Amino acid sequence: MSLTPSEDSMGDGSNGDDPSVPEGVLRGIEDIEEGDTASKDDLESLLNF
Amino acid sequence: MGDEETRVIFAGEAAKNFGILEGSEQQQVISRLVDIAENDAVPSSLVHERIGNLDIYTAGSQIRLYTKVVDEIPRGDSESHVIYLFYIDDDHEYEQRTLATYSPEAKEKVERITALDTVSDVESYVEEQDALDAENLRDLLR
Repeated sequence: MSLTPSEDSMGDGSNGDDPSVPEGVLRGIEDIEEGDTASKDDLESLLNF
Repeated sequence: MGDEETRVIFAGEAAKNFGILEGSEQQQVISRLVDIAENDAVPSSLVHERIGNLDIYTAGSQIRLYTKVVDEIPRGDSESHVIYLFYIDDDHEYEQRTLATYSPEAKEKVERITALDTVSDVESYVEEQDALDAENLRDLLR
């Protein structure tokens, strides 16, 4: 048994250490699951340049 | 170089993030996606880092794109690569972003919703998902 901490705190979680991500990542995953995606027209309407 | 086309699917959340970026940052994001889509290399080989099963790209010096890349679908008769863009992190120092645990359940969900091995009609699938190809992305820069 090793008590050595993960080398990378944002690691892959395979050692039981779940990594952290910005909360918005989880919302984006939910969106894809629910089919909430943005089209080219949607993105065009958001352009600021 | 294969004939595969790379498509990008923007989650609603990623579009929301995109909408509040400054114009120059939006250009960086789109330019980066065009680079990836038009690159001879498969998209997964251009990933900057991985967190769990998430693939992170950088755009400019500050922006991170949280994605899941699915190369070469359908298997055996590859037509497309698909990049699911979940979230755009602009890393503004004044913005205290809330972190969440990327749990095994979330990881499993990503595997499930991006499991495209069984998709026989890739064209219909990417159309239903509003996926953008390189040309669509380029149009946004014009």
